[in-house]
Amino acid sequence: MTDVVVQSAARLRSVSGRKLKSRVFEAFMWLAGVIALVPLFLIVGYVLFRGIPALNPDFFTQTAPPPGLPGGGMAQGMMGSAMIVGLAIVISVPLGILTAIYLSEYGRGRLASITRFVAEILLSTPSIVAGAFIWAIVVTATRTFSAAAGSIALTVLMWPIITRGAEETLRLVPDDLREAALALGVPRWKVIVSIVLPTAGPGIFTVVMLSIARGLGETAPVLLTALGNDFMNYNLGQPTDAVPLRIYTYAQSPIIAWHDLAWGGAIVLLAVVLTLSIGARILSDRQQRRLR
Amino acid sequence: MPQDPSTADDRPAEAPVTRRLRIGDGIFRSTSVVVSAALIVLLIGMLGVLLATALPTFRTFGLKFVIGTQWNPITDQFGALPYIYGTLMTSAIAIVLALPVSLGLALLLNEVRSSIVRNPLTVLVDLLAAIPSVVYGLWGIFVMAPVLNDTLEPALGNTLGRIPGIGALFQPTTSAGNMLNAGIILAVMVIPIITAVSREVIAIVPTDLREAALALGATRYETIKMAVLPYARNGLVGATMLGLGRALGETIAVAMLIGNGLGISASLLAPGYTIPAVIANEFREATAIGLHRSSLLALAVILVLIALVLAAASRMLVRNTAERFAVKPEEVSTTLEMP
Amino acid sequence: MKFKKSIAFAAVAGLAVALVALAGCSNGSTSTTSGGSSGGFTGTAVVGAGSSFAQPFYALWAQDFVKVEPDAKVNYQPIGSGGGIQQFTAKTVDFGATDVPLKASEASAIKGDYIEFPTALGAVVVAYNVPGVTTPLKLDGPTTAKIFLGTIKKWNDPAIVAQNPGVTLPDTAIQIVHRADASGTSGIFTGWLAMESPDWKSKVGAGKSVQWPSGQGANGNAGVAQAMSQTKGSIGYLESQYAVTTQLGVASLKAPDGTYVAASADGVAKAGQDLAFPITETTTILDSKVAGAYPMASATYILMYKDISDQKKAQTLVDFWTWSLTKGQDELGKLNYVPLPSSVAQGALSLLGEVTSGGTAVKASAGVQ
Repeated sequence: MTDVVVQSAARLRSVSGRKLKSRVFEAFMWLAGVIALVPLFLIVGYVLFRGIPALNPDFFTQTAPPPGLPGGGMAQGMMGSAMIVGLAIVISVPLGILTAIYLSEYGRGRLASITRFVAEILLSTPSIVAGAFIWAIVVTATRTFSAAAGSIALTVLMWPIITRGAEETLRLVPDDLREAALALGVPRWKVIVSIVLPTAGPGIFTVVMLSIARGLGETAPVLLTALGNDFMNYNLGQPTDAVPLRIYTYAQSPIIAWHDLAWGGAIVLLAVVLTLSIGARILSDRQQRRLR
Repeated sequence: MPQDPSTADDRPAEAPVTRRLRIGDGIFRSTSVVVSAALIVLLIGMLGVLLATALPTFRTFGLKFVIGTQWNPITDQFGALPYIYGTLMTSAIAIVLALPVSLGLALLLNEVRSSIVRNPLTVLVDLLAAIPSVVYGLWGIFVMAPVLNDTLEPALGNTLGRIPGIGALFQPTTSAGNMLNAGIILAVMVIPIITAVSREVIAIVPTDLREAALALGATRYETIKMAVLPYARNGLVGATMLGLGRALGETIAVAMLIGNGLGISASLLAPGYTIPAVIANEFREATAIGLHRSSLLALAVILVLIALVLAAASRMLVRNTAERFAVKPEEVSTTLEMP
Repeated sequence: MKFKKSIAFAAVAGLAVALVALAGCSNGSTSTTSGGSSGGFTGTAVVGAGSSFAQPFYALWAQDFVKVEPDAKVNYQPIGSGGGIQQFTAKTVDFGATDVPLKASEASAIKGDYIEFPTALGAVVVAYNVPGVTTPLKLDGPTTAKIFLGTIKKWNDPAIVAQNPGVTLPDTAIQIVHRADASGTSGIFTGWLAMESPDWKSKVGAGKSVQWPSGQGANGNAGVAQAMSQTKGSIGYLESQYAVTTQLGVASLKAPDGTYVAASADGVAKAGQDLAFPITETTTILDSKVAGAYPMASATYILMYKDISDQKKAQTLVDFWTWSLTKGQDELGKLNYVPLPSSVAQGALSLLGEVTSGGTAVKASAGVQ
C-alpha cells in the first residue's frame, strides 16, 4: 500500500509529473478566463434577446405608462439621463482636470499628498452615501428634488475618477516637452495649457468617456436626489427621471409590460456604456503607443 | 519637476510682457490649488454631515450600536449587527468565488504571448466592469436567481446542508432573494477589478526572476509559484482588497437580489440585508424625529470607515510591490477599480 | 489624431442634438395645447410622493388630468407612505400621500398649517402563491398573525386546514413577504393584526415599519407582488389591485361578526361608511361592524400645505384634487378602488377651500368639477 503512495509521490515529483501539474495549472488558467467571461456573454446576450423586441419607435418617444395601461416608453428617462449626466460632466470635468493638473504639474508637498488621499477616499465611497449627503444639503435646502441635485451627486463620484485618470495621463507626457518649452521662455501655465494638455488630450478624453459611462449607469445617487418623473422634464430644477432609475423601479414590479420596458432600457444603457468603454480602450491604447 | 528658468535669481529687470505672463502663472497655479482644496473641503463636508447626523445614534447607543441586533423605528431601537453581518457575508462570498477566477485570469493574461488572444480578452474583462449595477440586478432577478433557486440551491441544501456544522450555512429556504445570490452577482462584478490590478502587479515582477527559474528547468506552474507569486503577493492582496472595497459598497444589484430580510440568519440561502441596501430602501422615509435617519447614517459612517481602511491598505500594498521592483507607484494603473 | 477627435466630438454633439429632437417629438399622452377646458389656466408641474397603495389611480388621474390642464403634469412617485410623510415634512415635494393618518409625533414635526384629506377607499388583502390551490382560502386574524409571527410554518397546518375544509393544502413551507420600506399598507395590515391578535400587538405592534419576525422584504406594493409571484408558497399583504393583476390568490378574511368576507368593492364601500372627519391619528375603518363590510379596508390620504407661495402650483393642486374628488371618483372602479362616500368627498372639498397662496384664497378653476 505504502509502495503505491510512495510511487505516486515519486511520479508527481518526476519530470512528467511536474509537466502534468503544469499542464493542469494552464488548463485552470484558461478555465478561469472562460468562467470570467461566461457571465458577460450570458448578460449581454439575454439583454439583447429581451431588449431588442422592446425597442420600437414608441419606446423612444412615449413617456411612462400608468400601471396596467398599454404602450408607453422611456423617453423621459433618456432625456433625464442626458440632462443629469450632461450637467455632471460640465461641472466635474473642469474641476477634475484642474485638480489633476495641480497634482501632476505643481504638487510636491503635503497638500498634494492630502489631495491624492482625499481622492482615494472619495473613490471608495459607496454611491448611496454620496446620494444621502447631497439629499441632506442640496435637496432639503432647495426644497425640491432636481436633476441638478442628481448632477451634483454624480459629480461627487466623478470628480475623483477624472482626477485620478487625468493625473495618470498627464504624468505620461514626457518631461522633455515641458523642459523644451520652458527653456524657450514659455510661461508655466502656457506650457500646461498649450502643450501638456493637448498632448494628454486623447487620454483625458478617454477618462471623460469612462466617467460618462459610469455616470449613466449610476442608480443610487439619482434615486435620492432626482426622485424620478413619469413625465418629460426639461427643467434642471425639477424632479427628473433617469434610465437606470426606471429600470430599477420596473424590475421590482409585477407588470410584464414594465419588464419589457426595463429590458429596453437595459439594452439602450448597455449599448451606450459598452460603446463608450470600448472607444475609451481603443483611444487609450493609441495614446499609450504614442507616448511610450 | 524641471526648474522654472524664469525664477532664477540673477535675472535682469522684468519687461512688462513677462510680468503679465507671470501673473498668468500665478492665477493659473492658484486656481488649480483652490480647486484641489475644494476637493478636500468636499470630503470634509461630506464626512462632517455624515458624522453630525450620526452622532445622536452613537451618543444614545455607544458602541453597543455595532453589536445591537434590533432595528425598530417604532421603539427607536437600532443596532447595526444584522447589516454588518450581511455586508461582510455577501462580500466574503464574492471574494471567495472571485479570487481564484481573477488570479487565474490575471496569470493567463500575463502568460499568453499572442496579443490576438490577450487583447480581446482584456477588452472583454473591461466590459464586465462597465456593465451598470442595475443591469446586473435586472438580469439577476429574472434570469440568475430563478435558475439558481430551482437548481443550485436545493442541491446545496440536500448535500452540504446535511453536513453538521457548516450545514447550517446551506439550509434551503423558498425565498427568492438570498445572500448567496447577492454574493454570486457581487463576485461577477468584482472579478474585473481584481483581475485588472492583479494583472498589472504580476506584470511588474521582473522577467529575470522568471527566466532564471525557467533556465533551471522549472515548468510554467513552478515558475509562477516560485518566481512570480511570492514577489507579487503584497500587490495581489492589495488587488483583493480593492475588490472587497467595491463589494462592500455595492448597493443596487445587492438590494435587488438579497431579499431584504431583517435579522441575522445562519443560512446563506435565507434573505439578508446589507448596509448600502438598507440605506437605499429606508433613507427617503427616515425621519429626523427619533434616531432612524441618524442610525442609517451611522451605518454609512461604519461602512465608509471600513472602505477607507481597505483603500488605504490596498494602496500601500500595491505601492509596496511596485517600489520593490523600482517602479513608480503612480504608474501602476488602478483606474479600473471604479468602485 | 485631431481629425479623429473632431469626428468624435461631432458624433457626441450629433447624439445630443438627436436626443433633444426626439424629446421634442415625444408627446406623452397628448400634445395639444388647446388651453384645456378649465377656462384658460393650463397648470404647471407639481410633484407628490408616498403611498404605493394609491399609485395605480394617482397615475391614472395624472394622465387624465393632463387632458383637462395640458401643462399640469402631476408627477407622483410611490416611495411608500413613510417616505411621503417625511418628504412632505422636509418640504421637498408639493404633496404627500399616506394610507395611515399622521401620528401625533409626525404631525408635530410638520412646520406650517396643512390639510389632510382622503381621496379614495381600497382594500388590503392577504395574498398567497400556493400552487394547486385555486379556491380562495379563508383566514382569520389570529391565524394570519401566527403565520406572520412564524409560529405557523406550513401551509397544511391544522389551523389553516380547519378554516378551509375541502381544500388540499400542500406540505410546503410558508414564505413570508413583507415591505422593506415604511408603508401605509404595512400600517393597515399590522393595525388589523394588532386588533385581532393580542400576541401580535405585544410582540410586534402596529406601524408603517415594524420589526418583522421573518421573511423577505420588498419595495412597494409592486415589489411585494413581484417577489410573491417568484416565490412558491409565499404569503404577503397587498393592496387588492396588485394582487388581482399579478393573479395571486386572495384570502377571504373573518369579519368581527364571524363571517368570511372577500375583498370586493361592495365590502369596502360598506366599511367606508365608518369614515368621517376630522381625520385623526385613530381614524380607521378596519374591522368595521357594518354587516358585510370587508375587515381590512382603508382610506388613503393626501397631505398639502394650506399656504402655497407658488401661485401656479397652488392653483394646479387645488384644481387637480377638486377634479379627483369629483370627476376622478368615477374612474376608481376601473382599478378596483372605491369612491369616497359623498359626505366625505364634500368634507375633503371644503378642506381644499382653505388653501391659499400668499394669503389669497385659491378657488378651483371652472370646468374642473
